[in-house]
Amino acid sequence: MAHFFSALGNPDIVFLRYALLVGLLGSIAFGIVGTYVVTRRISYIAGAIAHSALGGIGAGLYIQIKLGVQWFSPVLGAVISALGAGIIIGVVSLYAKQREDTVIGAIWAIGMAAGILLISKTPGYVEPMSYLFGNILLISKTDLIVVSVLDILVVILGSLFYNKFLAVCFDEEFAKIRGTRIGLFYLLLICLTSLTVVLMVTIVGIVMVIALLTLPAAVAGLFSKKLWQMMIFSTLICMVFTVFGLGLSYIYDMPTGSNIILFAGAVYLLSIACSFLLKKGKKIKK
Amino acid sequence: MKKTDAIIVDKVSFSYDTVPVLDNVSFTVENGAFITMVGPNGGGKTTLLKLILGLIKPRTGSIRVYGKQPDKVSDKIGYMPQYQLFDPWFPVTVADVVLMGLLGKHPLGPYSKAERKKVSDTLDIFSMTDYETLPFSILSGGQRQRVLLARALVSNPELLLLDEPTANVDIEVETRLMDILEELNRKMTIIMVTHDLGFVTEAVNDCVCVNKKAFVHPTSELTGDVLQECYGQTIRIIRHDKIKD
Repeated sequence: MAHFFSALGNPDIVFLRYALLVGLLGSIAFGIVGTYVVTRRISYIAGAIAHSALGGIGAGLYIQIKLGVQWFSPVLGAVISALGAGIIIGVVSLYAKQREDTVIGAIWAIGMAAGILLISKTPGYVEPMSYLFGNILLISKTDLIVVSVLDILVVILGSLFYNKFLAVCFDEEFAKIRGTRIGLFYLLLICLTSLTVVLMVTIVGIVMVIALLTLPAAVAGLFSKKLWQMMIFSTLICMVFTVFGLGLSYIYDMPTGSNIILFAGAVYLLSIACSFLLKKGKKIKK
Repeated sequence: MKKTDAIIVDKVSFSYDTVPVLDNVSFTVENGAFITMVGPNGGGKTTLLKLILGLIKPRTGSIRVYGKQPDKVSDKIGYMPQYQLFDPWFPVTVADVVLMGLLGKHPLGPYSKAERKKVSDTLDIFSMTDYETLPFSILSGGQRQRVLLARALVSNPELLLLDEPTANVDIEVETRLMDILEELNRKMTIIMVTHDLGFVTEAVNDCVCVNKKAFVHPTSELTGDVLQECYGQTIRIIRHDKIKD
């Protein structure tokens, strides 16, 4: 690991510092939004949004390269398709609860298939795998700015509406009786999730977004007493995941994205097992 | 409308998709009354409660709470749902849960000291101030119910609606809860959905039997035949008369 930290200081290896920075900055958005996603139990929705983003990326590439509309970038396409998918799923789950999972599955599959189709019809070579796992080692300065702006937005909205989001996540009916416009806040939450997912998808890839949105929050949820504590802990845990994953991949020359995901997954499974055994031990003592 | 009426349910019907749940239901609840709602599972008790809360709207007929649409007077209503419905993993403390009762009048940003004081005072009614900072998830069923009742009461409602507060609690907790409700009934109207027919005690004025239709019976006239008609099957009744010491 010492080797990794000395490499971080090396002025010739800028990409490593950028990768670390984007990981640390992204952890803030992942920690806060991930906590809402895990406690409101909408990680499946986040998954569908992430995959629908691929459809938008494909559409963006096709329109930009094949149709020659220069300003329509893949990122713009991804933002439009992710927000659209989020709003459709949100409205369906608010007004037609029993069909929610079917719609989520449909959007998941259609988004991904449309993305692959459009990418294949775009002239030039684009590797679809790069959108699945992303490449955290190809981060630009612009990416860092995008993630910083996202962080500011998430922190402002997340703390301004903290009490409303908490009530909507914990007990929607009661929040409604106390005069909260639950539809509005639920959709706002889904849009915030969509935005986090889509911006991070274009930087680190679909699979890493799903992993870092849910796994740190799931681990933090095992020992957090309050929702804001869970947000801080999952941010810190997410930072540890990215630093260790990046370090290991640098030292052993392995793909960074999958390394971070596997490290996060291993910690998650271990902590679930530990908490299960601890609870069992307590019961036996009683 | 008479001034003394808290709730007027007038020819209300409701169905989920094509399944009718309530059919032409009418009754009135006087201000200051203590009402229980009994009936078989799927008979429409919780649906009726949700209609009075304004969470759902009737297909036909109308409901007036203090002379207005239910969702217009939600600040006057306190509601205690069934405690088993909550995610046991949710990271939230006892104080956090009770604070949600103040959400209606609360602007954006963190809760104030005055609001937190109110929460402590309300928890004090149930001798639960020591539990304020504990996670909601580690409490027992009876304790969780008291927290949810505190959440319903913290906004000083005039009408209190309770959904099965006696489900899965032991007789001691049930008796304590009943004492608290009797005390609260001096200040507010109470409607309680219950499964537990033994819970219908002398403090309760009327009993609404809900099974697609709804019939109001004064508690004193509540006999086995009446209940059997409501449940549509043979049931056993045990009277819990209070022993005066």
